[in-house]
Amino acid sequence: MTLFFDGGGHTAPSNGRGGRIVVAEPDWGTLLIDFDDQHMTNSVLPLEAEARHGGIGRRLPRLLRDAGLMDLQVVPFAVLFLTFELAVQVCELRAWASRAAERGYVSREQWTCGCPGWMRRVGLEDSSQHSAGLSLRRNETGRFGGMSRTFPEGSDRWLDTFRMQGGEYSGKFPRRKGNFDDRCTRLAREDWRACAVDQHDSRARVVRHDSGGVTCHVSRMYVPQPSISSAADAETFIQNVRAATDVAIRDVVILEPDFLIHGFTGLSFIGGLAENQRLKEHMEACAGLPVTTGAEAVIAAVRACRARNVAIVTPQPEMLTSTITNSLQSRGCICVGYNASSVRQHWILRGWTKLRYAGPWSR
Amino acid sequence: MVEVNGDEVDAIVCVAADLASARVSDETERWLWKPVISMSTAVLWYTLRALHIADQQRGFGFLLRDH
Repeated sequence: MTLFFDGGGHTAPSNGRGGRIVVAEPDWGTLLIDFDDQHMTNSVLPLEAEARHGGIGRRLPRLLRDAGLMDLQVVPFAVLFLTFELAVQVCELRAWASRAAERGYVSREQWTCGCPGWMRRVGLEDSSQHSAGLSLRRNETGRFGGMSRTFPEGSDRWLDTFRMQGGEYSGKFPRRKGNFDDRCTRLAREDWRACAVDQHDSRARVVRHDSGGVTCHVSRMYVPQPSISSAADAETFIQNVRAATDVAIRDVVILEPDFLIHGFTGLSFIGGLAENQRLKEHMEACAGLPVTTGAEAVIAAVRACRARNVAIVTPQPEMLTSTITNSLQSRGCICVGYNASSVRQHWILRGWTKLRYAGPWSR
Repeated sequence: MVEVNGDEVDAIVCVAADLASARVSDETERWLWKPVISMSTAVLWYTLRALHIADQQRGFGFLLRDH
């Protein structure tokens, strides 16, 4: 329930009491779905609506009047979802269908063979024949690395940006083997958030939704180095991370992203910005995609807030942090660092290092 | 973050994606009244803006909210 309160203005009596409230609440009992199997749909929706007090929307005026409120105005408002995918997300139809099966509204027989369409459509069964329902569509969805974004078909906007930043595009994106619909089905089964694409207007605009039209796909790295206690350990660790990065890129580009974000942000500082640039170029060559690293993002962020003196909080081991510090000092950065390991927080990994920088990042 | 804060500090940066600092930074900004940059937020923000995606989102600090 959403409630807005207006206690001031001309509506409030002079004695300071009273005011105006606005109450908004969906009436789930009036939810209607256009689906081929109306019998199945009509048997599930009312029962589920009742279970979650689906009639509260229509009862609210009476309850408010009984509570002593006056001058009631009721404004009915119909929300229309033209795509099933959006309705599934907003109305939580997947949870509805799951609970309907658990509570016996839908028999096991119906579930498995009688009326599987409803369940399949909301993603509870293998959606191989309905892969367009919950998955990313090739013609309507641009895919960014780690991220996907709904762009008009054939848009090269990201490519223009990439070139503006000095990137070179060889025209050879790594293409994966296999049927595209198979990949869509796999994505749906793994419950990736689908892009909410308005199929009636996909060429004209990007559809705004909570899922943002951008999907992030994470590839993790296994680094066989449990502790860092010396400079040699740090060097070994860095080498292991670089090797693991290549493996992680291999694993994530199979989802055909269009942009890649380097999540091991500490590594991008090691060796200074020149080394960061080499790392970026290596990853771009490896993935065939434009890449963002942590160092350049932080520099842009610091410039955005126009800060001159920046305090750094990092859980990196001291050996690694000193590498970062040295590289920054070599670029004219004044670093004053001291250990703040006496600070204890549950999300501190290996103690803190406190640094204050003044120099190259200033505006 | 409160510990590293000082009068001469204009902004605080959390350099590590393994710090769960995205939402913490938003709360810290309200405490300290100065920008707090979470690395995870920064790389996502930088990428989105580089791609001309101007969507803004509250709850993750000043970057995604105001820039």
